[in-house]
Amino acid sequence: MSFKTAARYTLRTIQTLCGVAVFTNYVAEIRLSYGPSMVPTFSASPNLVLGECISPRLNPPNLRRGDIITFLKPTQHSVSVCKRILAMPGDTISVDPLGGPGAPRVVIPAGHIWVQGDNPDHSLDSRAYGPVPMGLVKSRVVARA
Amino acid sequence: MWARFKNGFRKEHLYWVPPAIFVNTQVVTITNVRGRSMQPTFNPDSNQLFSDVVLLDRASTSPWITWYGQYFGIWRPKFERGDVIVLRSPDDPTKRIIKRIVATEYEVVKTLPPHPDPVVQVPQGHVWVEGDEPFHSKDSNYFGPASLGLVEGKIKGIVWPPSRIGPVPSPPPARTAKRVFKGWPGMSERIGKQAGGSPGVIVYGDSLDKNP
Repeated sequence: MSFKTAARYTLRTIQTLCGVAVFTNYVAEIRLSYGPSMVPTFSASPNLVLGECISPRLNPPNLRRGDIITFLKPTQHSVSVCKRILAMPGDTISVDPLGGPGAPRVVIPAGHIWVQGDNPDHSLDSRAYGPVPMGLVKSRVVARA
Repeated sequence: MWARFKNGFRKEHLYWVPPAIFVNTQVVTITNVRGRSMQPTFNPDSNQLFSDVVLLDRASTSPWITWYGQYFGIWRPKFERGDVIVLRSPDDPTKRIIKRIVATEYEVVKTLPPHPDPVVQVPQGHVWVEGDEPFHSKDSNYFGPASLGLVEGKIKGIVWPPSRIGPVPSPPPARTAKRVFKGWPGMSERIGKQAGGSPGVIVYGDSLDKNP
């Protein structure tokens, strides 16, 4: 193989990798989800999920109550977390719905969302670290394998 | 390769679009600074007709580059006091703001109005950001500590206007003098108990004024 074709193959590989990186950042991504926090929606063993990254970047973001989203963990931004949105900005949410009429409530500030796993007994979510800023949301999950 | 451009636009040129987008969003880019919250560091003229153009380093927050850099042990980006960063506003995810880091995780900050608490410990993985101009800045004194996941890049230097080309100027020290203190994980319960009762008796670590 001549130097010219080798160089061209290398260049095409780099260009394709850049295309893949931009695609997974801005259009859609496939990830593995671990952990029991979203049982029964996702199984506790690793699940392939397909998330679309366009919705969180729109103005205003196309996120609604009930959407499953992946976002960066607020205290550790190298980790991604997958949970469900329970409350949008301006809503008042009761932190523990079984706590009775005097249970603490939280008013969601502007630009933040309240997230909770579908398996609340085994989920570390907004009940521990409070409302999450919407800027941390990376994608909205649309399909599961 | 340059001879090909003489034939006009060809399909091969489209192959350069993904690397161009990648470099612009994950490696380095230039952007202009709007607003007055970082005066006199950026936009020192009060007429707001001309805005500074700055060099933005996005590799330190790019998940692709930082992941590979850490995996091979060659690079670990750090965000320290004094860095000017671009972050998505916690109040409005569609807006980007430019502020300076005043305190990193676990450090204790004496807040300015309009923050409701007199003293705040910055949680793990968060930073306390403030604009250099205290009266025109909507910063952590307004929305509290910001998660590092919101940070989109670090500003490395000014590229326009030519009279101020160079690295980012350091802040005037009086802005944060005697307001940032060393802290350690697990301190906030003690601050909460003491700050409510006697604000003068809070015990925290040394002042960090020596390293502005």
